[in-house]
Amino acid sequence: MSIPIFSSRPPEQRKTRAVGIDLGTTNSLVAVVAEDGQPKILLGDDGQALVPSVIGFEVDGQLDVVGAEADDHLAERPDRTIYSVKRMMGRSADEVVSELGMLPYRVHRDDQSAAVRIQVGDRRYTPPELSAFVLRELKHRAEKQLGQVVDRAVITVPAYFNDAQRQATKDAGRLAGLEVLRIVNEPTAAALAYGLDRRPEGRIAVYDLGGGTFDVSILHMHAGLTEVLATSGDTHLGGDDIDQLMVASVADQIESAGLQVRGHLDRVQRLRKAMIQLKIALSSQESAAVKVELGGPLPLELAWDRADFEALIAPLVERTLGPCRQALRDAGLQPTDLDEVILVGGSTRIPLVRRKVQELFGRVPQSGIDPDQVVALGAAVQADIMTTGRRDMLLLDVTPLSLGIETVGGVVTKLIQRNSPIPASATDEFTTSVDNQTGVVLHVLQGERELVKDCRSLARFVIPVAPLPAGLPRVGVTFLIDANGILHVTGRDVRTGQEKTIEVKPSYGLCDEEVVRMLTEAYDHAEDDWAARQFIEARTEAEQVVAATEHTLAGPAGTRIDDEERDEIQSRIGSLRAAIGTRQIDPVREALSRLNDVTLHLAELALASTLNDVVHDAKLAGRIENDAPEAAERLKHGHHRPGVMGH
Amino acid sequence: MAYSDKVLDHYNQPRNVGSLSKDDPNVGTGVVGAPECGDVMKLQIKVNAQGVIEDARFKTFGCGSAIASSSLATEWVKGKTVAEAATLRNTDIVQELNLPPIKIHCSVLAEDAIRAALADYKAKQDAATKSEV
Amino acid sequence: MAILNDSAVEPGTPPAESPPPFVVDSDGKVDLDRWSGPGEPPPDAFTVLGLPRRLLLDPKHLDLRFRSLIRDLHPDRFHVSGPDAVRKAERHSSLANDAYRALRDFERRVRLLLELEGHAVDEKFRPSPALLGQVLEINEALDALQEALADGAPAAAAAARGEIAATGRELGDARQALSDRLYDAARRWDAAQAPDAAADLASLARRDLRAALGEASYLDNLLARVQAALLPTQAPTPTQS
Repeated sequence: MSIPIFSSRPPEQRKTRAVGIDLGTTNSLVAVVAEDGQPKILLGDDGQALVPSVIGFEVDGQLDVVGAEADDHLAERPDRTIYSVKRMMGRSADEVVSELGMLPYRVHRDDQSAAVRIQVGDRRYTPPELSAFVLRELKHRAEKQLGQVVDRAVITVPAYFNDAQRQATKDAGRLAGLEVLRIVNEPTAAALAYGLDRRPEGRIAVYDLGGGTFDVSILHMHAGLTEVLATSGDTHLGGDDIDQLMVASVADQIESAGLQVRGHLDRVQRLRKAMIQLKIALSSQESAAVKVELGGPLPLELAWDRADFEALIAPLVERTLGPCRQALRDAGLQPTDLDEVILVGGSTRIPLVRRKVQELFGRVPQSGIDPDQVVALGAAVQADIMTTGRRDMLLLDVTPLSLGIETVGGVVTKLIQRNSPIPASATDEFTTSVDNQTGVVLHVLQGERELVKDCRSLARFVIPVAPLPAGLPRVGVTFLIDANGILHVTGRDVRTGQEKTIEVKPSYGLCDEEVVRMLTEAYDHAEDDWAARQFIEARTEAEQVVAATEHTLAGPAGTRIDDEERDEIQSRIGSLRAAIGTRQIDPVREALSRLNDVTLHLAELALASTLNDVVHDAKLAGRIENDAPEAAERLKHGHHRPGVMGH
Repeated sequence: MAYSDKVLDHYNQPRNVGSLSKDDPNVGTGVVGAPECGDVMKLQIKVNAQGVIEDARFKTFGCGSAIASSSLATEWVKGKTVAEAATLRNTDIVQELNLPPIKIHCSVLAEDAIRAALADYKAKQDAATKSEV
Repeated sequence: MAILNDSAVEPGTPPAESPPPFVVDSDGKVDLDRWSGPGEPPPDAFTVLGLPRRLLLDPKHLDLRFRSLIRDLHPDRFHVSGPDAVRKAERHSSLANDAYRALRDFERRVRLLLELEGHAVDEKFRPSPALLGQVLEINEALDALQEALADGAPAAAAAARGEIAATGRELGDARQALSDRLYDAARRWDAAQAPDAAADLASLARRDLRAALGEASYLDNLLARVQAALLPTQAPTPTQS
């Protein structure tokens, strides 16, 4: 039996949606699995799939605009238009310094943590805060498209990202008001998208050359199970580097002709944009030319042959082959063992890249799904797997880097080897070397090299122990790498069995207090978000009430009200629709409540008519003669006032 | 785990690296290896007429602790008599360098290398004495 | 590393004479309270996957067991059930992952099984003087190569590479012979597990396994360095950035 009361969906069903986000160096995308089970990219108002990962600020350092519009201002506002944030995520300022040469904005080193801060006006931002601006833009885009609140996301990262970089990405998600369901590796996400699309079986290599990073993964796909066998890469190799090479080469020529480029931020940016145009053109043409206005007497025309371009970038492309061989070795496979090679990332459109990949793997690489979109699509699939409980697909990933601890001589003793399937764990026992020591210091490192100085310091922490003679305390430490590739540590006093979770402060990351502080600082935005979310909820309810009212008006109950009542209801439906158009929550609530006031009678009629049907049916069946009126009474005056919204 | 300056010192600037002539009858050579980590250690001593070790050299391929252990071992045996050198124990090295349990085998290796070198020297001396007789 | 060959296996066929995996209860359901965490010693890899303690496992069976288990255990399956279930699933799936990693490589499996039986690899094993001589030689050649590369002396580098390659070939042959010895000893050990097998067969096989393993790991370390030195294009080892 169905009762046409004006209710919305059952409350236990979540009204919010989970999306997949490809947070890229150059561009970002958001996707969702639609009702038909297929992932699709959510487009912006401009009909574009890509959101440039560019953030524009006001002169005083307040956020202005994110995406394409910010990208358009790159040349005019080079010092307050931030791009390539991803390359700074989870890294120290010193590491980033090597890239400073061509960055037009100001990068600072935080004295306390050695972490990167980007200064705009008088404000300083951390990389996660900046990424959060991009994520928030994607969240808004998705909410607008879906008409639903989006509060959970799967976010992708390069497979070769270390713990600190993953943690920073997770922090960015939190700062953007998203529950990060999972951090997924980009090549693996791509494989998931292919997995859903074509259900390939066997061994697959994914070659992912993005804007700023290079990854290669070897996977085994079997009956919906996507198992990563090995992964390798370079977190500092991508399209950005190609652009920089081109700019540097052209800048040399221009400067030798007497026009200074370096040091003129706007000229560098104009040149960079022109070079990107040229690069894209050279993927489909043998030669191309662009005009660029650098403030000289005439616009400069730059003409390149593909051969020049290829000669310039060949060393970069060559650098991707080492990690490919390494991944194959780690997977214990020969190129001939592979069933397919998949290309991911915009830079794989470059013909030289395709040729080199084909040479190395001995087969023509595939790019059936748009290489710019495939990662976001796969992330949406993973979000779907995690929120719907679907069981036909599962992703088994590996940790890209070995995890170890520092031992005497500055040597790293490995506890978890690279390419171990995750979650993975290791337990080790430690003791003291001096009498009455009150703690044992553990230095956790990630990387493949033997010496501490060559590995990435993840964390240093002290495990407290009761003061005892040297060698007597026994501390068991368990390292767990979760499915996101992020480390958790628990320590246990072996003698007492007492367990404690050790807080791991990522070396260049944000600690919890910092995230909380930033969340508080971002309270204004949070309020915006909250308002938007409230509005979306109210609108959804309003739309459902309108639909239900109209449905009832057209049904048997509708014939039992007079024209005046009918006109009043319809006029108030009109007002409610107009209120929805204002995108303001208060008018919607107001109009909704006014509509509810005049539909009570209609709702009662509808209920009565339904109950009559029920009673009639029951009588026919010779049952529940006495229960029915009571039930009708209960429904009429019961807790469930039809048509009234919850707020 | 704080390192004593000694470890870092030996690790960064190992003493007595090099080789002595293997065929010199006054030189004892010990080559040992640790299967656990693939380390290999060659330790040589040169003994003078008074039975005092006047020079010691080593060549170690392995981790920092192994290098530090063998470097320390050569420093210690220099100036000692053959009999004194034979009393050197790996635990002395562990104590001096403050080695963690996971690296104790490095000190064992150094002890073994000294013993092997002493044994080689004795064997050469015995052979020489025999041929003299 | 052993190469898996599982393309012919259909999901759902359990290995013939295996017990159920550790985390599966008597009703065939996954029990996430089976292991309480690091405070309690974790079950061994064979127990986790529900496989008999044998050295020569059918890789197809191993893959099958692991995959069906991880399909049920992976934390992604439990996100809808809340953070507590996810944590338990993380713990239990790390058990399964670690067990799979330990068993799918033949030599790691031998090492593990010996440890379980209370016979760790012989710590006292000392390489023969002849082998140690080769090891020193190769290490010296590796050093010479590095020096030559640093000084930009191609002729000296080529000479050093030649020396490394020659010794490397000898070591490679020795390693192959060791693998054969290991497989042979493993077969004998498995056979000795039969109830009617003579007791000394097992201990004999075990002694051979321990000796061969000790030598094998020694040679592997060496061969890895040889390989790295001889790579055609000096492929950089993946570094942290």
